[in-house]
Amino acid sequence: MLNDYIEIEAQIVPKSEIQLQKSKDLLYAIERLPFVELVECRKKENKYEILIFDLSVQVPQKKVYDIRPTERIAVEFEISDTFFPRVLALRNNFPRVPHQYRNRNEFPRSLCLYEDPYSEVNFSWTASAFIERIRDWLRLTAIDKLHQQNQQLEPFLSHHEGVVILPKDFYVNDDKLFLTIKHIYTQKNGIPIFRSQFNENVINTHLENDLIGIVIPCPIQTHGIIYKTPSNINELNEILSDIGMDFISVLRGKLLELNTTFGKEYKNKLLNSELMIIILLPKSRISGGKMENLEICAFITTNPICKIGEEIGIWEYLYDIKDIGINMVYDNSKTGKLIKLVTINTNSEFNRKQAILMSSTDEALSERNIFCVGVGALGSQIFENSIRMGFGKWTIVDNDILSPHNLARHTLTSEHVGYPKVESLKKISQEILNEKDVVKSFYYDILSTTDDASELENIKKCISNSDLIIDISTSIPVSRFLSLDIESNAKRASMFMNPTGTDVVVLCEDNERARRLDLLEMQYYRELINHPKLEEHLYNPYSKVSYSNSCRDISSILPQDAIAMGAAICTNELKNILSNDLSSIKIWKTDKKHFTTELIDMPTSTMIELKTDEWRIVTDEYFIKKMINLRAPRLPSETGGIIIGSYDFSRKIIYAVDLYSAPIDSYEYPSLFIRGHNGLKDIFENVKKITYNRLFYIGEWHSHPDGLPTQQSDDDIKAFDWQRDFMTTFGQIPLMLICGSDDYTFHLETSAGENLMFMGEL
Amino acid sequence: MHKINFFPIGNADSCLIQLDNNKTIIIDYAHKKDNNNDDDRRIDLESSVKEVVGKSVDVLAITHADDDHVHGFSNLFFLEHAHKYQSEDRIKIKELWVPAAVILEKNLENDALILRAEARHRLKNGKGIKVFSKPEKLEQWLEGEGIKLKDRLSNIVHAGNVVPSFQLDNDGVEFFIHSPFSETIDNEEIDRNNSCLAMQAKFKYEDEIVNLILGADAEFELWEDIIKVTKHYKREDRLNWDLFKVPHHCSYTALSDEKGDDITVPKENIKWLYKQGNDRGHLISSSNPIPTDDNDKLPPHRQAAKYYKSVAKGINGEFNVTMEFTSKKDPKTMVFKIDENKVTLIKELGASIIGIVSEKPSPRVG
Repeated sequence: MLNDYIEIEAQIVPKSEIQLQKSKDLLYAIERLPFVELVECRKKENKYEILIFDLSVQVPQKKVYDIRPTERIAVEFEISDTFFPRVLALRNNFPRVPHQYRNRNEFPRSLCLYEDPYSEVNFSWTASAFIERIRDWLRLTAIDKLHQQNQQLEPFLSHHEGVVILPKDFYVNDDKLFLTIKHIYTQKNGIPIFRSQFNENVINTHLENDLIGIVIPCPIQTHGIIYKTPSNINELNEILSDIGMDFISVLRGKLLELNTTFGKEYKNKLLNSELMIIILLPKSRISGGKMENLEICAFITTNPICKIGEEIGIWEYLYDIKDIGINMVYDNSKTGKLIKLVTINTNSEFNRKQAILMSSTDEALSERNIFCVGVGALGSQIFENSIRMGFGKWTIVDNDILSPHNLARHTLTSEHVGYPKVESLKKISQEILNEKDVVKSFYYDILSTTDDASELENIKKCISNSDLIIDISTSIPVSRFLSLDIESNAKRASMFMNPTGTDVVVLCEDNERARRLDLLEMQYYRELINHPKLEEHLYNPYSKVSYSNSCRDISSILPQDAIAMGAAICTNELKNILSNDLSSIKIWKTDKKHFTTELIDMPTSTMIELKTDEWRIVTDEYFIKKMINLRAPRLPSETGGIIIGSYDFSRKIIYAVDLYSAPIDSYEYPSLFIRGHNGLKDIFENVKKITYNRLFYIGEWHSHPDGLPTQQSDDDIKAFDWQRDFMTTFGQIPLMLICGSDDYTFHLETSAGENLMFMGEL
Repeated sequence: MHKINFFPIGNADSCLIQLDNNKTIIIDYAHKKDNNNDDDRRIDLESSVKEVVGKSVDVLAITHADDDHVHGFSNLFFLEHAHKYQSEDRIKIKELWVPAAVILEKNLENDALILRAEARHRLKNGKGIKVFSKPEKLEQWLEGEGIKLKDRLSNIVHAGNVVPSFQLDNDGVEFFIHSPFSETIDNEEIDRNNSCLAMQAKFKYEDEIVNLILGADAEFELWEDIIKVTKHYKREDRLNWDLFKVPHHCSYTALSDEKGDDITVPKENIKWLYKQGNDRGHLISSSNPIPTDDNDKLPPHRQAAKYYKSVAKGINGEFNVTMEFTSKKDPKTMVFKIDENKVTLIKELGASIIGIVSEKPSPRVG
């Protein structure tokens, strides 16, 4: 049955003449493995060794492609061993299937076995695995499973002679497209790289370009259409005619259209440009099915457009006037046989879809609107990570200009120095994803009252549409502003690093905002005090003034690797935040030497907010419960202690964050309580040191016996006078909290001398 | 997915079917491997079967009482008729299938004799047995045992019927009985091969149907009868096949009375039978490797094999020999799977390195 198989043009030789290492290995494997039987060995030009063998293939009765239980295969090894051995299916009616190389000749068909480059495959190549790979290729092809879902159908051209990078989705509009194509680089191996910019206004810009690209869409097909590499226009026409495509007519139409599109001044340039023909082959898995993907084949011609028109019979080039004379009737005998085609590999520009795929980003998360304030070192890196992962639809706000020293830790480069960070980041993200308006940016000081008001309206619009409002500004005022001063149902989060760059902090509200960001900030300070591992968390070696606000000021000395690590953690945490309803206070503590990281997940507590017209007391359940628990065991005696917390004077908020039990030298009686002072100094110093003065003494608390009101008694009023005397001196607000059996009351005197009471029920 | 296993056990039969619903059916069992002979390439059928079926099998069918279809039966299965065959490690048989000849034959030895005892015991009890065909001799035998035939009709299946134990829609399989015919067994001398149990198993998976013909050791005369009867009742579909376990270990006698020099030319009717194969169907010879000469009178015969190969080629299918798959040196169980792609012969290299190293002790070194 020899005539069933294609004859390989090479000398038949005895086995003993097989000498190349790989062919010897293969020969040996063939002789000892099942499912494979040697047919013969051949040699060509002292350069190629060819082994021909029959493979027994696992094929089901009901197949997609006609792969037979036994297939004859030829493997051709080349002496230099620099490329995959060629694997040829010799059966003369071996079907057209995916993952074949397209050669100049259609038969014998050449199988593409590997997706990795040869240098990588070579590293672990064994003859028996090679045979199994061929068998597997055949087995999977028979049932059409070789082609994995999600795997892009790459055009498997065995010898492409160039690469063109095409705009993403340039084909979605319609077929009236010209592309302007530039030759941007030539690789060491001589292969040129082209890059194209989709440009409808090709007329005025093409002068900059080296080639004109025309796009020719084909009807939808099952895959595997271009089964060999056409070497001229006529051959391409023949291949496409198989699928009912009148390529020559379409090409004629395109060239004539091109000709009329150009004004006279560019005509000569046009006619002397080279042409890139881009064929769109939409493919479905089954015939009549919907398009599953699109294969794009590209060819460049080695002749100028004026010559191509002549060779396809649409015009004559008139050398004297350097213009063309259109034929009244096409010369149908001219089908472009003389117009050589060079095959070009196509590549699509990176895009969001690909970004999502390559990072396996959750598609739902990729659509979430993120409003971000602050794109400094940490912010820019979190932002860029997210963009490259196709994660989130971002609005970025920042009022900073990129300074030279920012380059130590910012994603931007020298060319952006002196420009607003947001604008440059926007530009870069557009360049990464090749998408206009991929990011909204506002060069704006969100805290300013003087910046452009209309811009503020735009910002507010973005805020109201967002799913998450995030502060990466490393600025407490911004964080407070986002928490308290803007209207939106979106939850708020804040991300920052500690002064030495060892710890990353992420604070995040719950979806109901029952644990507001400003409160979470206070709870975070409180937890620092209670957490022995975090004693040094806010330590700032660069700040001589311990009460400075510099804990979030990362314009200090911080290594970029630490920021990069922090940004990675924060980017990942963003995903958690968007897929989780709960509030969180998380600190990732990293050891400086090896960058091992420990997550400290801190408890949060529900907010309790007591308001008058102007002033607010913000505390939480933790605080109130602690108070109840300190009072109960001392009954019927009173007890008490000091309160630590913080102020926000501009918003008239007092944060009551934590309270302490009575010092041991206190007097506790049923009708009176005198707070002692033993140990208080240590507490104050500790709080001051750990929180960098973020928390401090804000007042006193004591209990009343059961059944008594939480109004101030005469003694209480005297004590409050004492508090007022020293606290107002230092600009503080005297505050006294009285806890009873059924309620508690905060008594305070405002900076305007007004006495206020805030009562809460237990 | 259903699975059908054909074991490399030399010139002997054993086919194990695993249904998608986990039911198992064994058709013939002949464990003849000589464990003391290193050149014996046959597999250890006993452990292979145990590995798949565990503690019980839904059906054990013995097509006829030849030793190469029943050898070792009494060592593996839990037999109800005598205590000595009832240890815990034996495989219980939910239903035993035998042709009527097994009940009636005389002068049996060894496992065949024990099979008869078990079959008779079950038939007497009227439980866990199907007997194929109802010759007069069977009625006589039952009367001798004081049993009325009408009380055992549910245990008897006639040729031309589907065995009620399986339903195509529920189990994904049905068994159509082609043979034995009652008349054959009523002859004076029982011709065992021609009173054997021959069936078509029709498998269903999703919308796909796969037909398997189990030819036992039926000779050409029996096939001619089967074909004639089947055509008469216009049941040609019952001889359609995707898988054909060719009869009698690839003996020419299943095709014709003439061996032929180069190729066996089957009788006309029988040619028709082999044309009933579907595209990419499989023929399986449960036999020793096909010889290249005629020195051995016993099957397999190269001329018959050549005919089967030509049948396979005509339908782009395959002809495989149990003792040659995947190699003569190291034959492996031939496993067909039936799924949405109809039937596929599994062609895997088999155990991985880790499997080989971890499953058995290494050979002794010294």
